[in-house]
Amino acid sequence: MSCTYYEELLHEYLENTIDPLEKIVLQEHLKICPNCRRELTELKLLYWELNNLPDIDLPKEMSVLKNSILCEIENQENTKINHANLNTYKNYINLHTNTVGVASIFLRFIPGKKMASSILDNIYCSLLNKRKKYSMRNFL
Amino acid sequence: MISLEFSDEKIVALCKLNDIHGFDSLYTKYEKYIYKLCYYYTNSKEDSLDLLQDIYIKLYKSINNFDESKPLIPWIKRISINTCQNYLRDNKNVISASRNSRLPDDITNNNFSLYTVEDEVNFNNTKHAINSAIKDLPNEYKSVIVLRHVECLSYKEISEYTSIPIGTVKTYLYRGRKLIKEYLKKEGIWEV
Repeated sequence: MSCTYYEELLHEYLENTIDPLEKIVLQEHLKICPNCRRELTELKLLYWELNNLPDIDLPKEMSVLKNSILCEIENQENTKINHANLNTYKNYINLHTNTVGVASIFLRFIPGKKMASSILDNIYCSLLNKRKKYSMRNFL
Repeated sequence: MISLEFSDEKIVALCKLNDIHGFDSLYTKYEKYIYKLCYYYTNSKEDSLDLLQDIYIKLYKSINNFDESKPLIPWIKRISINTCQNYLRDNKNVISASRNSRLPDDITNNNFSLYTVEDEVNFNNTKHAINSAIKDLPNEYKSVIVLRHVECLSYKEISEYTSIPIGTVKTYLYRGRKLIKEYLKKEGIWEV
C-alpha cells in the first residue's frame, strides 16, 4: 500500500502545521501502518538533528577580512571628504593657475598673438604668486 | 569586547554617520550569524569568506536606506539571504559539477591519501554527515532546508525570500529531508 499521502502529512504533523481533521486521519492511519510509524520515528530523529545543527567555527581569516573592509570604508570616507572640499578657494586658484599656464604656452605657437600671450603670462604670474601666498598662509 | 555592548539603535546611528566604529560593531556583532548562513550555503571556507565580504560591503552601501524604525536583524537577514541565493544561482553549474565528481570509488584510488584518520573519525559523526548531506543537496532543496532549519524561517518567510510558492517550498523541504535521510542510511550513520 502506498503511503505517499501520509508521508507528506507526517511532515505537516511534525511542523505543527497540520489541519486538525487530517491529524485525526493520520493518527488513525498510524495505528495500522508500521511503515509510517517507523517513518515518523526516523523523521523525528532527523528533525531533532536538523534543528540542532552545530555552530560553525569562525576562521582566523575573518578578522583580517573585517579589518580590510573597515580600512576600505575609511579610505572611501576620506575620499568623500576630499571631494567635499573640492570647491574651496585654494582648489579654484590651483585649477586656474594650471589652465592659464597651459593656455599661454599654447598661444605662443599661434602667429600674431604675442599680445594675448603676454597678457596671459602676466595673469599666470599673478596667479602663481597668489597660490604661493595662499599655501604659505595655509602652512602657518 | 566593547562593540558587543552597543545596542542595534546605537550601531545604526553610528553607521549612518559613516563612523568606522559603527561598522566595526555591526560586523563584530553579526559576523557569527552571517558566517554560519554562508557556510551552510557554500560548505566551503573560502566561498563563505567571499560571501561574507560581499555582505559586509552591501551592508555598508545600503545602511543609509535602512529605516531606523524597523528592527535591524531582519534587514541583515534579507541582505545575507539574497546574497547567498545569488551565489547558489550563479554557481549552479560549478556546484553540480563538483557534486557529480564525488563518486564513491574516489576514496579507493589515489585520493585515499588525502583522507586522514581525523577525517575518518569525523565522518562517523552524525553532525558531520548531516553537513555533507546538506552540501550534496540540489540547490533548490538546499536553500529551503537551510532557511527552515538554520534560519528557522516559516514556510511563508521562505516563500518570500526565495520567490517560490509555499506549496513548492513544502515539497522541496519534504524531498530534501528525504534525501538527507537516505544519505544518512547510505553512509551507515543510521542503521537501517
